[in-house]
Amino acid sequence: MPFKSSTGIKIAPFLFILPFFLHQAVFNLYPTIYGFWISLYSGVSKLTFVWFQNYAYVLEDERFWKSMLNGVKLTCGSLFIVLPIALGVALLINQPFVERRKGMFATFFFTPNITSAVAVAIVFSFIYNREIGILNSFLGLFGVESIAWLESPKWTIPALIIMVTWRYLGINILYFLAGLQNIPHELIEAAKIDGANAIQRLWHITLPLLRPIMTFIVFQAIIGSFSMFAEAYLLANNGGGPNDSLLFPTMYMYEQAFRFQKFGYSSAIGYVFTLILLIVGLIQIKLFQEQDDRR
Amino acid sequence: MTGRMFHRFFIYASLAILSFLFCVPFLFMVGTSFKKYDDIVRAPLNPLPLAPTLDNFILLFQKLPFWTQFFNGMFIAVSVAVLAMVLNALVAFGFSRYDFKFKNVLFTIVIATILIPAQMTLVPAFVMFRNWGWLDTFYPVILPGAVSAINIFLIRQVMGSVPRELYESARVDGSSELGTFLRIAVPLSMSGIGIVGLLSFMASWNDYLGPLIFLTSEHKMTLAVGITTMNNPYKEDYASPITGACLMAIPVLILLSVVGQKYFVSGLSAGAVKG
Repeated sequence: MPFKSSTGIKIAPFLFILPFFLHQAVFNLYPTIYGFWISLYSGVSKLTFVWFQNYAYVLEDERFWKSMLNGVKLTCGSLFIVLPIALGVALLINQPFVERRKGMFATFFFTPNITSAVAVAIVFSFIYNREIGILNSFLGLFGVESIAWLESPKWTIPALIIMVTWRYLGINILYFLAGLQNIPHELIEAAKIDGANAIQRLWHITLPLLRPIMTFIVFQAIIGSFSMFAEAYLLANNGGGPNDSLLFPTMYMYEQAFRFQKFGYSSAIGYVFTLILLIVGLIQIKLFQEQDDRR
Repeated sequence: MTGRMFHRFFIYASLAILSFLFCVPFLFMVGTSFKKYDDIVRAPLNPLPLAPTLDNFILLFQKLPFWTQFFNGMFIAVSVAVLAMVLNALVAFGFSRYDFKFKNVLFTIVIATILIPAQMTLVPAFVMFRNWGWLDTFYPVILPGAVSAINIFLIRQVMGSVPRELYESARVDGSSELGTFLRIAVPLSMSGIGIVGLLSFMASWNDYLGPLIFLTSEHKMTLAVGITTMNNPYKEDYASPITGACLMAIPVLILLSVVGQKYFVSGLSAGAVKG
């Protein structure tokens, strides 16, 4: 590298990458540290330094754990409903003879994903309306009694999961398709000739080869579910829904900070939430990698 | 051969049925915004308006400073997109063009920031912007989204395939480092930069939490927050919010059809393949 000698070229790379680090320092690092400082204070207008008391309260706060439990429920919905359907559709689209129409189908499934969460929530609260909603009217044709989708705590999470499936199926189909593209059709054909049936081919060839992209997809699903805000908040008509059944951690933070002005407490929730999410995320990545190593 | 025909028919049929199911909410969204109140209540299962009317749109424009909020959202989203394209491309260039001390460590730091959820800074950022007098201005909804690790990663993926000889010959020809960036790196990685612009535009246009917290007056709001203020608990008005939702979805749908879904699809998948 002959150009290493000039001083200009030595500084240049650092000047190019500087925007990221400046931006991070101002909009992430500083607020993160500042947030910790805020979380040590209690009170609304008169602030008192209370050490780690806010954290102790968060850990005992039933509503916080309720919001985390809702996060777990939504995560399960994503992992066991959205992702399997997405994989199934991706496998259908990935058939050689569908290849030419791949883009068309992808667009159909993908459009909900780029539609604003606000628009989606508004349309779905209309669909779920107890009296005049489309879903109840449709189910009524089969004699099903009208369901209080958004009023009964029993039905809010299923309602949310149906909406989330509609909104996030497309993006997950795309991710799976990207992974499937890297699996040569010849490999599947060879297994077919060797007498492996469709389920064996899926289990022993396709799924193991999809593992790297699955790590990413599952990680996204977990983080996305726990970070739920706009869709659930608007579906529940600006709140946590009946019996807090649609309360999610971000919503709880928002409520504590901007409705009750408890900035310290809200920051403490943010810290506990981030820490739990980081641990869950890292465990998940580790788990997937270990299984990778074993193979 | 009939077995294979049946197999194909089965796959196409299931894909077609599923695609149709996915269109249903859109059908009702568009249909309802042209429906009269009586139609909405009496024939909920018919997506088509029996007697199409523009009343809902007229009412919406009366209730909401629609165009102000529309252009607020546009201004914010375009600003975010432009800044994101410029700044992320600069950083991506720094990482893909040069070898320097601590490069790997620094890039790992960049990637590690993906792990930290945005909720972390919700409250402290609010307090910080309040101290700076930035509440009810566009800065807090534009600047934080301008640079992000995932976008740097996306552009670097594309820039990495630009042959190094091109950079070096530009240097020999006397081009400055910034000139090399502008004349060689940017044109050759326009696909990656374009996707970052698109994704940033959409993320900003569709964002709800940011505008909800930082923009409080009606004339500074974006449509995303504006249309949610129309939920009046005392009067059952189903059509206005849906009409607003319909109008809000249009810019992104236009973008999708103009730019082409192929571009979108390839861009979104690119992040996942190496991710």
